[in-house]
Amino acid sequence: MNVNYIWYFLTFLTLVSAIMVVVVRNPIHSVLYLILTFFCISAHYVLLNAQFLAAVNVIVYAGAIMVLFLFVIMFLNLREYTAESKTNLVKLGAAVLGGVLLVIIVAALRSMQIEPLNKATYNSQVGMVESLGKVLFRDYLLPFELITVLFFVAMVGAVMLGKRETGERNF
Amino acid sequence: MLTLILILLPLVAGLVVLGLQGRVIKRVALLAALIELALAVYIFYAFRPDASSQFSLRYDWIGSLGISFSIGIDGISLLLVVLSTLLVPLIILSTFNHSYRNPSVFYALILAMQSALVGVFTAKDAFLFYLFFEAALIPVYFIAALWGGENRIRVTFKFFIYTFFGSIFMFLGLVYLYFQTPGGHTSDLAAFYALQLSAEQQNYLFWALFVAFAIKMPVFPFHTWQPDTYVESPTPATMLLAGIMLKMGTYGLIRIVLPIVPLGVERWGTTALVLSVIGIVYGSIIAIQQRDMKRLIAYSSFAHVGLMAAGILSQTLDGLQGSLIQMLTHGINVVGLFFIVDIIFSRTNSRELDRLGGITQNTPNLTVYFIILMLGSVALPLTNGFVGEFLLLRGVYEYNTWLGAVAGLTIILSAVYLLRMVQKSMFGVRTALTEHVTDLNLSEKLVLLPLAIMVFAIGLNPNAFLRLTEPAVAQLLQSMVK
Amino acid sequence: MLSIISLSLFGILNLFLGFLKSRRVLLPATLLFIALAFAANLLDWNHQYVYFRDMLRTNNLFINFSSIILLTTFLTVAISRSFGTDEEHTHPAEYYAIMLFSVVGALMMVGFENLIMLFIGLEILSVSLYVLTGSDKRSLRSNEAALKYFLMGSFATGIFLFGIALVYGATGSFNLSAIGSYVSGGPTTGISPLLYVGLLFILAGMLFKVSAAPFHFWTPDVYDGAPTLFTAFMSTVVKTAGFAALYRLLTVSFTGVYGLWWQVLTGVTVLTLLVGNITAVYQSSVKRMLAYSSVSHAGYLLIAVAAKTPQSPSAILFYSLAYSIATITGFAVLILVAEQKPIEGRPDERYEAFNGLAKRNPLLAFSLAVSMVSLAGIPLTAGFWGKFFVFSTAVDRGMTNMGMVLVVAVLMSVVGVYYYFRVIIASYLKTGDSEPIGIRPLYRFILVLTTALTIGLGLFPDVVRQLF
Repeated sequence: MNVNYIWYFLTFLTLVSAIMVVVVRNPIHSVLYLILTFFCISAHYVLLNAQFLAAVNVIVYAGAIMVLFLFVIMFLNLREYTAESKTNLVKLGAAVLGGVLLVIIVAALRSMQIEPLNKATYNSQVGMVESLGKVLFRDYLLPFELITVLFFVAMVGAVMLGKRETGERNF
Repeated sequence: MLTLILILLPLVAGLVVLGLQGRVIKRVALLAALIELALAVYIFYAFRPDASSQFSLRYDWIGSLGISFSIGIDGISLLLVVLSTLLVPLIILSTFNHSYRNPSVFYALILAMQSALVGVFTAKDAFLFYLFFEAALIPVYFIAALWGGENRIRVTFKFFIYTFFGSIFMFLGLVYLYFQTPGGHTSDLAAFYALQLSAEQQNYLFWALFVAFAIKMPVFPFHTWQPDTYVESPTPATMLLAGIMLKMGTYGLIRIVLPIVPLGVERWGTTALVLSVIGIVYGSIIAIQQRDMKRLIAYSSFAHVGLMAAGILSQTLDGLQGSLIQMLTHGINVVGLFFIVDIIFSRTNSRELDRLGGITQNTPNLTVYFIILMLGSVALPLTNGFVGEFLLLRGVYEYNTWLGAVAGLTIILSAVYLLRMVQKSMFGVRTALTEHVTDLNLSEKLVLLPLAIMVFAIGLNPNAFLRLTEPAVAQLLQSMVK
Repeated sequence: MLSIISLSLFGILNLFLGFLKSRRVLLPATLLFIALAFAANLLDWNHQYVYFRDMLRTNNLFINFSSIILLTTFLTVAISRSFGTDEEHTHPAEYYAIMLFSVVGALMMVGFENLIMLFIGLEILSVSLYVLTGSDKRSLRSNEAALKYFLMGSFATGIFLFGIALVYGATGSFNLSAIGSYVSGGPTTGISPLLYVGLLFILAGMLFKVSAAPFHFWTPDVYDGAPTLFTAFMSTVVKTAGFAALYRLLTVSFTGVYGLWWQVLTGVTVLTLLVGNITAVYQSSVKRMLAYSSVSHAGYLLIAVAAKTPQSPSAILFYSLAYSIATITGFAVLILVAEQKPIEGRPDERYEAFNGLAKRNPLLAFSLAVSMVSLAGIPLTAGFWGKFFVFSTAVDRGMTNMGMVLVVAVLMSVVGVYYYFRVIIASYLKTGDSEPIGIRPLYRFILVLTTALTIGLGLFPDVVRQLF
């Protein structure tokens, strides 16, 4: 069976579920669709022979982060979705802008020539853990280390903002 | 070196004054201004009457950009340096009967202003010129805004924005010129003079530069800031504005516009000249209708400066020489007139012509000085105004007969409004306000006497001044022909 | 490189200092840390290093930009007087640590040699600022500002990242010079259209961060809502780092398509200048006015980027320096004046709060006046030379290309004089409260220092410019 069909099917599914994330009114459904999107993307990774990335994507995004999301939404009890009314002008502007962006991207993609795969030089192991690790800890060592600063900031910030401060609230 | 001292002395004195308290402030400020005047007088007599720039000094200021701190005095600068050093001590002296709030700041600002003005008139580097040009604005703005009349905040703000608007276009023009200079670029004015610019470039540049000076002077239709500002400012600020600062505009025309963009002047000079002449007539007609003496003199100043601008734009030797001598003359006369209005105001609390009259009966001295200065402004022969206006009108006439004829109206019109002012305020029936007017006191006489002497000194012997400026002007006109 | 490492460590150290009972040690310690990083930064002067397989490049330009960033951070921390002592701020150590970390991000943005480094640097800086914006937790406006900034900022980052991905797709590399040689070397098949789209997205992301119109909508609300201290920090450090990054990216990687992006940038410049200045006129709060003025200054800086002459980096450097110093002074005075008479628990940031300031504290009024004059670009202040250098780059590029931009810029600087002088007029010419305002010695020292710097650079710009 041609692998292309799987690709088409997955892509279709990804797009549909991504659109559904935005369209559905119930936040819980929205999160579920998002998880589905992530799974589809992971499946794409598998097609690209990058199993490690696929696994990490499922574990981290679909697993950890999305479950957390679900928890928070259930805690907050956001069942009623109150639609924020936007003026027609804003809607029109957004539509025009989004449309233009879409046209630009589509035009760029259409006029692009993708070089066919050269089977002689293609390294099928490129997406494997080993080569990934080599790139990450050799070529990209500095960004890898510095990203800890980012996590640190996020952590400290979350703790700091999360703690309640005494005193009156004001506007 | 002497030029540098001339610039720095008032600034240093201003800083000293800032730290003083009490009556000594005025005296220190006056002393500094007098020393400055003595230096200027020395320079005046030591000046060789040729086209060269003397007492020059040059330091690398921003070496990497070719911007230098380059100053010097040539024939054109000389008269204006003399003017500003002569008027500032008189202006300071004229305040001796007033007590201003925060006197230390007041006098420090006046001295800082003088420093910037001398800087403008002696700068030989385009950006240095611009720097002083702008720097002069700030002290006078604060003097006017802090010690001015009721509407001072609004009016002075308008004045500030207006003049800043003009000068920033000049700035752009200067930056453009700077990039036209060959090699590593320099902002030396001499290098700007040597540029070979195309006619199209010059046309744009003409307006960029002209507007800045036209607003400063002011030339019609850029004058709307002027009457209000003159009226709302305290008299010392008005004197600074009308007596000296206005000359920054005319000086800029001679120093910057004429030699750098001669083709631009050729193309647009007539338009600008027509605007100036419109200003003469328009200002005079409005002056005739004024009831407020200060406002009247403000409009008369607007009319007079129009003639100076016209003379400069005529690009004739007579026109330029006339405008230079007229700058000196006008500075002297207008400061004197504003001071007399201030004296009358301090005695009667009014500047309204309708409410004044008959002052002359108590005040023979005041009347004499008033009439002398008024006649100087009207340009009666033998007074200083005559020399300037005669040369100016000849210059404009040479350029265009019709414009010369219209500009000639200024003599008649100025006689109408100035005589009317003297007649209504000094003569006629006494009113309740003018019953107890006292005559001049010593410090007032000390201000008016030098002015009156100058009215006749220039009127009787204009050559003492013209001889010094002629070589520089002649060279400038020659360089325009190239 | 040493400065990045040391700042990361100092940030952690700062967090540990938070365990101490006495908070008095925090402020001096943080100042010391920044000074040390500054010194460490200077060690590499006149050396060129490339670190970790082309990830980071340090040269004199890097050192200049990072020195400005560290200097502004130092000044901002020095005026953060209330953190250490008062009861309201319960986590001073965290604030300082986050500020130090954010500088790490800023330095990465200045020295990046790889788009990944740029992205991480940008994220570190942005995330720190989201937190700092919301740090006044009891103020609803601060909360709102933080959320707004976070949502919009994340969206911009997403677009930015998408742009990087597209550029990678076109060129096959994250490395700046590799992209540069792809773009200017002209690949046999022609430049891939993906690159254009990617460039557009990267530009949008970066312009959002430096708050250029039409990506500026977040700026007034966020700057207004954030605690004033962090507004000062945000409007200086982010701008300097953002423009350093933008310039570096566009000149190293995308010189080959200059004809494409300068048109976009000049359009954005004109729009930014118009929007920033004209809207600033209508503000009644000084803080909001300063927010819009920061938009307008982004416009002036963009001129130098769009002109892309050999003088552009030094123009950007000088302008950033002059702008940062003056802005910090302005905000420092605003903090003091605004908290004198709070309205309903909020500091009074209207123009009226400045009435009669010259009588209440002459030093405050004078340094405020100098900073406003400098921002307006009037001679004898640093701001004038900033404008001078920026305009020079544009004139150098040519009037046919930049003439329009220049005329708009000149007109808008007149508009700028209008709103900056309103503050001066309020403090010198209007009468208000006569209650004197007292200031602490360190605060006084900082104000004197910044004022002296502004005037000193206005008189002798060459002192600094020789280094640039």
